[in-house]
Amino acid sequence: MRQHAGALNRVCLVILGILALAGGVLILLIASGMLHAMSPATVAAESPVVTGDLHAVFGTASAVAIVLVSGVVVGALGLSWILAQIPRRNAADRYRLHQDPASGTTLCDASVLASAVENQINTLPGVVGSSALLRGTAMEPDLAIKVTVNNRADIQDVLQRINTRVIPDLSMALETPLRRTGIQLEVSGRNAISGTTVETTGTVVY
Amino acid sequence: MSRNEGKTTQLRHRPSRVVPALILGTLLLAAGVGLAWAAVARLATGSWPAFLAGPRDWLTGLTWNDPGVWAVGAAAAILGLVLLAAALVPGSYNALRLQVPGNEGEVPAAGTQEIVMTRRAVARYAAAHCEYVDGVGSASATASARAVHLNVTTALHETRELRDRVIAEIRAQLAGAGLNPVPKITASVRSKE
Repeated sequence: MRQHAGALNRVCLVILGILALAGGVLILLIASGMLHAMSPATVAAESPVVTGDLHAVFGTASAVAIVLVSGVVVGALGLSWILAQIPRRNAADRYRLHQDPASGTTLCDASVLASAVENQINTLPGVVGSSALLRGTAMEPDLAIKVTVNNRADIQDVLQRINTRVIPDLSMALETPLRRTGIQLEVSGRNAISGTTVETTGTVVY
Repeated sequence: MSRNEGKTTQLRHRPSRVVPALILGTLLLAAGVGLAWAAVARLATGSWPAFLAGPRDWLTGLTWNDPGVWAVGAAAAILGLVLLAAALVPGSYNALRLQVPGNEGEVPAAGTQEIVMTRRAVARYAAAHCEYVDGVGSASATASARAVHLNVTTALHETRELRDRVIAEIRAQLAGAGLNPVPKITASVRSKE
């Protein structure tokens, strides 16, 4: 149900991978002399890597500023990339249900609606627990539900009841069809909140 | 690097590459802190920190055909390939799709609908139903995005018939749960004796 930075990670890894691969191949081409053989204007394999005086280059105030700024930029990029790995709920805050603010405002906390959805799902036979999350807007709401069912539950029955009772009730409360719904099923050995099947044991006597 | 640019909203998704992202993010952060600290030290004391003297001296006397340069180039190329593989190898899905009869992804009040069962849930469900099959002593299961493997122990000497029965039962249960397509089911039955 939580959102991950999968696409962001892939893009960053591809960019860094291409940069590292291109840099490595370029260094190997120069070191082997192949680049110089292909284009005599480029550096030869025997030439020094650093042609200038490093003392003089890094002695200037502009070099210090460049190092400082690049350090801050690289560090900020690294930190934001790390923080982006935290899974986010990105839940809706409050739905604005009114049409015209001049004639009054109606606000509904999305978490209240989510709790109502959870309570209704928890009454279904075979359900051990649930959590619901509303995203989007009051006009285009998205619903994500995580439902944990008992391992003997009739999964199709639970899904049918969610589709025919829970979601229509939410849709009616919001007075609009949901734009998108997602249901994630988990299975547990714990007993369902309602409609529990009772295990019995016994001995057959002949 | 906005958090919302690359967010995944699908319940069924491929791995997010969190581990390589965390490693590289930490390396970038460490490099940034090192550079900023060196620049601040240079401004405060008037000279660059001593740990930069080693790399500077190494670079000063270096030629392009030096073995050290070869090593750096090869390491960078290999790192690039590893990063590209980490980004481009798709990996397997975290969950399997479920379908409700009469609902082909569209519900009147629900719009587009995605129903998934996590791999762990499929494995638990399969193992639980396996234990209801007569002749099974204990069972455990592992599930991938396309297959479920059952490990069954039994007191029976002849295991072939039980294995076929267990596979048929679990296939029927998973199909009844609505998994579409039904994953391939394999079973290893071990006799206790």
